[in-house]
Amino acid sequence: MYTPNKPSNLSRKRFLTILGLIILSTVSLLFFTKTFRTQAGDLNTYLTVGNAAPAFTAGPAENPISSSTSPTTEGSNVTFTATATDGNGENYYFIVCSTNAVTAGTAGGAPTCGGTTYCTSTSTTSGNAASCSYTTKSTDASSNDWYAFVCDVASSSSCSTASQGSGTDGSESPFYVNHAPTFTSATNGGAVNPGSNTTWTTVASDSDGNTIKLVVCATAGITASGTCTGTTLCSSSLTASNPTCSYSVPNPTPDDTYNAYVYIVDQFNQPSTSAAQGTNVSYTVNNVAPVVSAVTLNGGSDITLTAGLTTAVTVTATVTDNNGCSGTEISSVAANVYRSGITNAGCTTANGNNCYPNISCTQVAGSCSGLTDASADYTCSVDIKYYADPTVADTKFPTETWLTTVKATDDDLSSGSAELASGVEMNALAAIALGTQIDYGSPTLGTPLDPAIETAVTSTGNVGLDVEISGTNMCTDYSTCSTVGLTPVTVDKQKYTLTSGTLYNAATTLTTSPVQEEINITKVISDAGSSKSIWWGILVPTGTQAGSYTGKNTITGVASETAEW
Amino acid sequence: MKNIFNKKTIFTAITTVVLFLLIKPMMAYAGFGVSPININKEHLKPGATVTETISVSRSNANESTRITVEPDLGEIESWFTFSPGKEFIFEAGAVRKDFQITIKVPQDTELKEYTGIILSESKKTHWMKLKEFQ
Repeated sequence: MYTPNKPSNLSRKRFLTILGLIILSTVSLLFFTKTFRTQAGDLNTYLTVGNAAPAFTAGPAENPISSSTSPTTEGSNVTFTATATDGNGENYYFIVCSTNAVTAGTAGGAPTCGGTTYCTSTSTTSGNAASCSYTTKSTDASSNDWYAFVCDVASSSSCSTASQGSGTDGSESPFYVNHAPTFTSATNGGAVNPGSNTTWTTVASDSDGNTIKLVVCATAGITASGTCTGTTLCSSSLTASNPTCSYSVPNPTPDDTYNAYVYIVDQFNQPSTSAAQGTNVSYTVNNVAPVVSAVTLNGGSDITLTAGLTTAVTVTATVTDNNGCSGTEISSVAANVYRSGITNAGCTTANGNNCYPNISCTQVAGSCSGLTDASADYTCSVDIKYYADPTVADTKFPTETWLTTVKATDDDLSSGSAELASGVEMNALAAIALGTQIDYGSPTLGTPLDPAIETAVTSTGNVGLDVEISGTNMCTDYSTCSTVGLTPVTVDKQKYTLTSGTLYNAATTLTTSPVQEEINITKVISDAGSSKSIWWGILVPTGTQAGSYTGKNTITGVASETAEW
Repeated sequence: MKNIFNKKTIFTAITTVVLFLLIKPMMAYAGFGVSPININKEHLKPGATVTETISVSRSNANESTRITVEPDLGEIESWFTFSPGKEFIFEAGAVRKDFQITIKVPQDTELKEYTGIILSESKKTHWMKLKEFQ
């Protein structure tokens, strides 16, 4: 209420007269002014001009414009602007309140809101634009009505009626505040194998009723657009609450624990400010056992041995480990090579006949292409003894084959193995070595030399042997062996025996045609070998001319019956 | 017989390979072997051709040796050919030497089992000096 000041030194009558003039004047001129005009002459006139509240001439408006679909982020400023003029030409205050209630200031002070004061401008010259800002708070509602007033700066201030803005572009009341989602917790579903999904679940919500999503990042940090600054492991779709997302762990992936930073953002990419935001909810990739495949032995071909020596035989295999083929993941690859009747389980101690255990294998260079490769080829070489058991027909193990089992072990001692699907044959090797010379020396003519010159016959193969024995005449002109003027020592003068100490007359006469002898050299079963001896004797007839005589005796090795091996 | 082959085109040829090694007085040979020792081909059809690889091996590769293949195959000898031939050199430094036996069964072959022997002979290329009789 605004009340004109009353003059105290005038009579009541005169005052009423004057008041009548004032009323007349007011009708035609002014309503309220604060100037006194004195009538010429002795008539004093009094005019009391009342204080007028300022009025909006532009605005009020909020900036940035907010709406339910474009709210102002919690913690951001909302700036209100308006322009007002004051009829009395006085400065004014611009105030924005949460309710339609304002109390003018006193003694030139700023007004106050009946409810929450969002902001109050400084004293602003009438006609100039005023502004004030409000920093949105977590305690603000999602939608906040506001009421703007302008109040003049006067000893008895007056305020305008409320305005909620005149725009229809969102600059009018209310202003909308978007609150950060609440992120209570996140958990990971537990260790998984490479190639499987690992899932993060959350307890999260949004007080504004906005939808929210979960973003899981390999490194800490998200952008303003709600994406990972680094590698995104997974991102959920927008959902009302408790978003989840899953990450497909690549195959291969080394077994390990990996960082995973979890973030909740709302549909406006407003990130949560809860303690759980950005925490490392790591995931674990299991160790998985390697798998062996594509096992080969000697390239799938039958194995042919080498007389008296070892033969290098190659085993190959592919080892697949979903934790990767590179680095130290695969700690060892080893092969057993064995006759099938021995079995892999039975091949624990090396035995040249049938078991070659724990053959170390090496990775084929270039077969593992790197961290994204699970498989690598391996090759192993084993030296097979010349006496390894044959498995072909007419041997002791004709129904068997030779097999290999390749075992791969990883750095966590998990292992996998595979056996050759179809075995290969070990060929029979018939081989002999003759260890001594036959030197009859200078026997006495006409006197038999009992068989005492020993020829060792050694098997250098993997079968039992018999022998066929034959010979020729011995001559000074070998191999012509002319009888004209010469005296060859005929073949029948040589005798041999398989038994030491046999007398010449009891020994077997050498012939030009091969004669099979059951010498029965057993199959070699160790590096010590297996051999038998043939003893030779001769009777150089009286009348034989002196000279150096040469002949040729032939010993042919023939595989014996398996019962004699 | 032709009708028999047409109706029953299975027959067997077995060739046995045995080892043959020469010795002379005052000579000693290192081990010599052959593998496989049997070639068993069952159910061959007339007109069929098969090739087998035979390995000869030795434990001492210091010297060059001549290998002679001596087939004793009787009526089926004409079916056999040898590569690189019936004689070849086992070079010094090598412990294994392969040769191929190709068996080509004539079209009009009688249905029955056939066998034969092939000798592989190793001959050293030098001779030893001998003592004289007194």
